[in-house]
Amino acid sequence: MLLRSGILVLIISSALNSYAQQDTTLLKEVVVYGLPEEKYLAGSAVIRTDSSLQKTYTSNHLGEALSFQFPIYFRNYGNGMISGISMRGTSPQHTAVLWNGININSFSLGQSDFSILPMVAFDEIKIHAGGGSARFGSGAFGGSVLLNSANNDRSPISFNQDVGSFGRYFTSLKVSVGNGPLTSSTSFYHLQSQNDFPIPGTNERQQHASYVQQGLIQGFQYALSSRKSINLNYWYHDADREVQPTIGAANGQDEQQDRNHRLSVSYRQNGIYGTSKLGGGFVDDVIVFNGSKSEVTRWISFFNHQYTFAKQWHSQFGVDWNHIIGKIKEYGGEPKENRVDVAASLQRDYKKHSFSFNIRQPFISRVTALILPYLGANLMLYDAKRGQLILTTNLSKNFRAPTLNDRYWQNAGREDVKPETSHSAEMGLSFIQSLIKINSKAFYQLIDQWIQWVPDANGVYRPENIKQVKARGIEASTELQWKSDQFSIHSKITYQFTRSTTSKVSDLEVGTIGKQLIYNPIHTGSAFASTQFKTWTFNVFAQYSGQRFTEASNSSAYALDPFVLVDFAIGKSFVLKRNDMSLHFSLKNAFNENYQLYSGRAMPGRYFNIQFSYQLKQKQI
Amino acid sequence: MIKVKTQYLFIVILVALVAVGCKDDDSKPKGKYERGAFIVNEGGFGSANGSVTFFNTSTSEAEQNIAKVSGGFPGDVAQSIAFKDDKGYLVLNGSNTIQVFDANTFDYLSTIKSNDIVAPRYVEVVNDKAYISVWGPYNSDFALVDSYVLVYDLKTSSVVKKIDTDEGTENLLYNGNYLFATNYNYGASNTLAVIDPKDNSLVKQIELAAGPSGMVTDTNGKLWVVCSDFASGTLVRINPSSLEIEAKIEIAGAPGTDLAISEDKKSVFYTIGKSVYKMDITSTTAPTQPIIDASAVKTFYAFNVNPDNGEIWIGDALNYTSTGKTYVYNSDGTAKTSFEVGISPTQFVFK
Repeated sequence: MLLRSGILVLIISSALNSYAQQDTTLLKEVVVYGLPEEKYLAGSAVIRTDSSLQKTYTSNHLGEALSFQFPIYFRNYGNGMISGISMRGTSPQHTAVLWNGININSFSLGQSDFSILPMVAFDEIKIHAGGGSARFGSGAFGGSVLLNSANNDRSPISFNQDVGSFGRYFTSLKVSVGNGPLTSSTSFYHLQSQNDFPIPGTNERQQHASYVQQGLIQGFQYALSSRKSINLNYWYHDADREVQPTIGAANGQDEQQDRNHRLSVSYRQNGIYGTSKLGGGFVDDVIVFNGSKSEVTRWISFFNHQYTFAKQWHSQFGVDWNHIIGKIKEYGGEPKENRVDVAASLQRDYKKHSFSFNIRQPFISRVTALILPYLGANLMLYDAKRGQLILTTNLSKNFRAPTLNDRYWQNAGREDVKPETSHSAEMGLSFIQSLIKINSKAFYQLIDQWIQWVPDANGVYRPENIKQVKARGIEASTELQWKSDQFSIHSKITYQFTRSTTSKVSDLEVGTIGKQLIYNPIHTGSAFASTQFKTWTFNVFAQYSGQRFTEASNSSAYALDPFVLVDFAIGKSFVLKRNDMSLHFSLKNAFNENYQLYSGRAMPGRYFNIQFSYQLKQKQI
Repeated sequence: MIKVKTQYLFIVILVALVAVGCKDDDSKPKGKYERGAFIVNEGGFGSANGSVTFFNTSTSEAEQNIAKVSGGFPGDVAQSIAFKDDKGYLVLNGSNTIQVFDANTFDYLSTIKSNDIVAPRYVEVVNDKAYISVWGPYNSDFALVDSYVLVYDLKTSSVVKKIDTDEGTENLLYNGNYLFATNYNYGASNTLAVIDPKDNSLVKQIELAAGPSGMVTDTNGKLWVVCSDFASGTLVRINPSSLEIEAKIEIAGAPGTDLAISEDKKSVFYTIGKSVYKMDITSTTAPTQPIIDASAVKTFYAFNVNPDNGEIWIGDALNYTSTGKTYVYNSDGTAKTSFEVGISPTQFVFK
């Protein structure tokens, strides 16, 4: 199938090419812009984080901020501690996280720790909800988080300094310079917190939970011509944490350090044949827990080519290769694994409708390959001055590769463990107008071959593809945007109803059939309003989580109570010639809610944060 | 001659009898939880939801989570409970604390914490002092390096002494004379520590076999210890006065860490996998046939025998993330009842 569509694309593009060559007039320079990720995803939504969210939560990590704009749940093991994402009723292993196109989930655990993804490191954060493996690779079941640290900052210098409760200090500095064909962007950030917050409901202060995180992002772009460039992006992140103990625990002594290196180098070229990108990368993730180190190193290479023909047909073809080395002593050796993905995308835009088709074929050492398609459509049912009514729909098949732990854990891992798969279907209706946007979506996903570690005949725990989960629900949002000369407002409310239940499970857990997955609330909501009046900004952010079960057969004795969290932020900006300065004051957990995101791990009551920002604006020529 | 009317005499006698009878009424209950079975549930690891389930053996009713602190769970990974002088001492292996409750009402009384309590396992209260078996911290290879029995004065709330023992100090038994502590460490240690609570001295560490854990005393006052190294096991009988090993009985198969005694204290019970074995204390070889094959149990995690009636109790932890189950068998090995308990039931204590 892939070969046939590949040949089809090749025939069509060479046919069009030969047609163009018949024209003997002066060739115009064709500049085909690379299309953003969302272009090949008709039928689903790729939503950017709001700039007011990025501003208010500059010094926070994504697991603390995203819940205020999206109906996403994060199980945080305390304040500033390990953070696992739940999107559309799935577990943290079922959300793909990409940075500049590279999957940065831990290959040993199959998930990302969102507490070491700081908001300040990214220029652009986009959330794609629902199945998307055909486009984003392994693990994109509940959704994908697309992070970009690009070199396109317009200001030469930007600086932030935060001071907050419980000994919290944050500093970030970004410097961008350009000299002829070379532009460089350097970003540095540092966060530290004593984190000894008063534990709500007790007279005690949280002990042993302090942390320091810092990082460096370096980007280079060298323009060989107006159409050719070489890009380099490097991100180093370092975290050192005292692991927050459970409420009431004494003598907490656990410590964790994380060190992550991510590098990508690529050559890009625009031409009449489209845009090509060829490059390589290196990712190294280290976790040290109480002195015990585990490391996964990856070498990456990739090639992709985008071409738009006949103005409305957009196509993309790509290959990427990962060479993975697991340096974890519990593997009993240093297993090496190769993964090659071949993917193609096609999008056809009509005046009112658009259609997307994506296909991916993954190859993993000693694993059976399956083909992953995505098919989606946006159909404009009604288009008038009053507004547009759009029907969106998509179908996809997705996969998640077994983790290195599943395959190589000494005397327990199995190389013949199959990848997890999912079949997903979505349908939605949107009403879009200049002032208001109303979205609604119904989704259904069947996750099969979910890997569970269960005891074998000798009582040894081994991974098996036995679990099956049905995640279904509806999502609805209303967005309002209005702007005048002096005043603007942007507000959005989102609600999600998710029933994510086990339909097949190991013999040990028959009591969990039909029960909601733990740490997956049935009701989730978020709301924000960001307003601006002259030089003042005022923002309100709120998130709601319904009851969460922490026990697999949904016992209410072990459930976490629903909660609402509200943050307020007020800011004032001062402009002096090219110098943009602002001061922001945030009141977090304004109503002093006593809540937990993970059983037994305290979260702070009301607290505050003050931020001073400075930006040197680019010279106006 | 005093002539007393008979009916007045009866009244006087009646009042006298009532006055005597109403003094010191010992039959009034001290609390809801005075008598019965207690199941200690670990809870989810790192989730601070350890609990105690109470099973009323007269009414056959179970009550979940009776040991509450400030209306919530008592802490992380509840490992064991010991009762002494109307107090219940619940050891929280994850929280590094011992929560003290009224043994009859289960009202919360106090918390025992100290810098020296790091991964506590069991507690025995002797002469107003708590003797706590402590595993101590792990090194970077996840091995124990400093286990001990901590002597904690309950009256002054302070540490008296740290008695250094071999790694993995686990079960405790006080027989009125010595305090015995087994050094288990998953089979890596093989000694029985003998402590004299009169001066808190370590009298001796007797070498038994790999992985000693559960202990009981029989009708002759002899001490029995079950040892397991995951491949095979040994039952060791020790003279608690001379501290000499009297017998070592090989078990074909790796026994679980719990050892129990019958109501008449003439038989010991141990488990292999999901099977329960009963052995007479005069026997020189291990039994070949089990008395119970608990095939319904998915994850055999707790075991004990009720000293009042010889009923056999088995705890099923399922997959360690769901509420568990307890199965009760009659002393003849026939099934009696089963009921739901908390997450990962790990110990049965009877009062």
